[in-house]
Amino acid sequence: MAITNNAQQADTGTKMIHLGKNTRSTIISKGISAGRADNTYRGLVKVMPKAEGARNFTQCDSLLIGDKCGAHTVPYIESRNPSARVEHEATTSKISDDQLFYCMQRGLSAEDAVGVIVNGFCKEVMKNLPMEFAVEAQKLIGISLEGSVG
Amino acid sequence: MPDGLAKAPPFEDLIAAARARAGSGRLADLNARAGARYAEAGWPHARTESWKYTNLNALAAGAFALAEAGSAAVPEDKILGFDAPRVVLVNGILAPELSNLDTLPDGVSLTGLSHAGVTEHAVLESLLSEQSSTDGLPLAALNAATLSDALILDIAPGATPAVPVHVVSLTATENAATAPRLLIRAGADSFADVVESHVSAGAEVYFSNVVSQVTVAKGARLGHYRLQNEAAGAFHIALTSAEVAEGAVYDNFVLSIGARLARNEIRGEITGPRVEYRINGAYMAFGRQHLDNTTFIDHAAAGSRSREVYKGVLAGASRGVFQGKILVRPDAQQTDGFQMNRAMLMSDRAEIDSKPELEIYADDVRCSHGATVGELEEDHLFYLQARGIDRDTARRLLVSAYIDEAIDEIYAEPVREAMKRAAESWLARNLSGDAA
Amino acid sequence: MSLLKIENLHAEVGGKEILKGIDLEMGAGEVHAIMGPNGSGKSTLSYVLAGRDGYDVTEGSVTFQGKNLLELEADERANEGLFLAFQYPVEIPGVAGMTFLRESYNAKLRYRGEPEADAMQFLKMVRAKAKTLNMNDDMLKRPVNVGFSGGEKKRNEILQMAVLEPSLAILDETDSGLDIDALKLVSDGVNALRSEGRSMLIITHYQRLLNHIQPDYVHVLAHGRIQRSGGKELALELEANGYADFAEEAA
Repeated sequence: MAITNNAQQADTGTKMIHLGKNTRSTIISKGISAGRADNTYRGLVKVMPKAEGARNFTQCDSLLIGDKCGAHTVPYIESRNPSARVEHEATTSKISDDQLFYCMQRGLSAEDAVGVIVNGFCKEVMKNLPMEFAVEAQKLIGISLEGSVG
Repeated sequence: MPDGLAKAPPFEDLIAAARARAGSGRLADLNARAGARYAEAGWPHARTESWKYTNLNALAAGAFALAEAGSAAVPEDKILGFDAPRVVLVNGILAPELSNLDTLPDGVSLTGLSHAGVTEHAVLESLLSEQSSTDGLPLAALNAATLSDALILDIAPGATPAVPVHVVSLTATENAATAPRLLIRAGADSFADVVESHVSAGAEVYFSNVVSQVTVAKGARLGHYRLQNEAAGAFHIALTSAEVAEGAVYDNFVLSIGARLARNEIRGEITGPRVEYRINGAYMAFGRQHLDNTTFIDHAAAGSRSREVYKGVLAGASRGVFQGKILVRPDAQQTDGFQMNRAMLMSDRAEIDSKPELEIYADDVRCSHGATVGELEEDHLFYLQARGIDRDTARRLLVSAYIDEAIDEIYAEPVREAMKRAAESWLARNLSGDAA
Repeated sequence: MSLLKIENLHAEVGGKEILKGIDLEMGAGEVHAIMGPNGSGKSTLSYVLAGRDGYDVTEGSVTFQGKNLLELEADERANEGLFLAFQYPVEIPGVAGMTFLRESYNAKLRYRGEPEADAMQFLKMVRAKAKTLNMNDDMLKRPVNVGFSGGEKKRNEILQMAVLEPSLAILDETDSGLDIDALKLVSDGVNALRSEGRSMLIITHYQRLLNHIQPDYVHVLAHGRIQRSGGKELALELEANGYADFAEEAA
């Protein structure tokens, strides 16, 4: 999960190298850009020749908040084993005005609304974190996105 | 400027030879200016991101020489087979006697540097004004620095030629370095198809450096299709750069099956709304072939769609590369971009490197890309075998269906059928008895 | 003092004037129905009251519980006690219904300077209310409105209303897209929430909802103005004659 706001520039990513037989990996990247920030996800999935039956699934989702930020996903997929199955998907979305208004009409301030929606966006990743981390992460999301709306 | 560690770029001898041949005048100017840009751009090296997966050392080490115009027999079994008037290039130079210049369809006109009856001035002016978009790229600059001929294919505004135009590019001289250069201009509201076949007419080892520049004016619809079926020892580096205006449709497909090392690079700029920009392709390799497909789509305007479907089959110890970048600029709201790359490895010595890239600055867009790498499903194979089909035939049938899905993206029907036949015959030749 | 007083309200959307001088007064505990032909400004009125961006008030005033409503942000209006049941409730992926409800509920408490709710008590309270609307635990765990049918979305809106206990509830075409059974379920839910401390503004095109939720007053909104007001018989009259009488814009 990577969050950028204001004028931050982030270039973060993952490296997954499959060496042995029947190995499985899943990468879920959630990138959130706000303000005038740029968020780049750079990921490498490499399947070596002996990695018989390797399986990888990578999901890169970007959320753009506002129209002055950018999201950049650069996945490198290198496979040298024919029985490996490597899949990659990427989507881009934004927080719709309708969603923001709905949350505000239910009493949430604009910033709280963004926090709630972003947490929903990151749910897939957050639900796999131990509880203490998840709580911290939620707080950090709120702090990172301060000033991103309005 | 290239960093101090780089050696002098290769092919300076070719550039010098081209300048000597051109003498003085506008062609010589064009060659000289491009030569300077080539030196400035610098030859791609190991850390040049765009060439990360394609090493050009073997090409740089080759001993090639500029080739003159020549004559050759068109190898009918290698080019795309369908009925259409031809424009034939031999070693990058127009061969009128092999072409059907008198029977080009209505609305289509051809101007060339070496073709009699054309003002060199007008053509070169066109070329010079068009070339700025491509010369930052070293290989494209090399093309402009070494060419002695160029073709401009104009489709008049509103024209709807009844048949496609088939540009057949032949290399007939051993160790030739050729620079086929094509400008295709589709006038507003026209509807036409241009097909290119790149094959050998006798040469085994050569370097074909192709640049096709395309402009599709407002409301026009252009089909632009290519078969790359060069000789097994050839190097084929091709750049297609397309600029597509408001409301236009650009339907591009490249089938790559030949060459020792080939790069199919397509750079497109969408400059207006309601554009449908399609670049699809298939690549099939065996032995130690290296096939690189690198595309870049620039959504520079709002409200347009792009679609890219590439499928690869890699047998033997071949290597496939797919680099697809989609850029959505800050004002390009309502962009709808779809990209899919799939590669099938047929042996454990084959390799695929894939880098589907998204760079998005607008928040109201839909952009998705996906890449999958895998092999034939054992279940599917078994099903066919259980119906009495032997394993080899079953494999060919399944791979054929897999590639046909990409070929089905082609809008122009006769071209689609011709491409399928070309893919079929590759499979029949190269996929029999190739153990996984 | 009336709960809601709208005076000469003019509003425009995208530069076009939709509300052309609305006057309306609602007392506590009253149920008012606003009916009118499509395009008359019914939904616009609900968005203007709820404070949606893009809906600009050009003239007039709205007083809610003695306060100037138009000065408040959308979330402040909600925390003051205004609730809008949307005609097309939006989806919020990844955010469980229960979580969303708790956030809203606590936002109101914080606004009033009160401590946040105890999680267990809150859960029990919501479950009980959900049950009366035929909603099970599973629906509360699913992300807000994601994959919900039309009827489920409307029931979810009423559940939120039941939990947040607004003093003014605006129901924007709550009956649209509902079959008879769903309509009955939703209407029963709404009726159960009628009380002296709560007023409702029911916006509807069709009269049939008003068979189930009987209004105290009915107003006809056409061409951006309230053209006629009356008791609940006015609704029956409209059912018989349609909106033909209001087709021409009054001078």
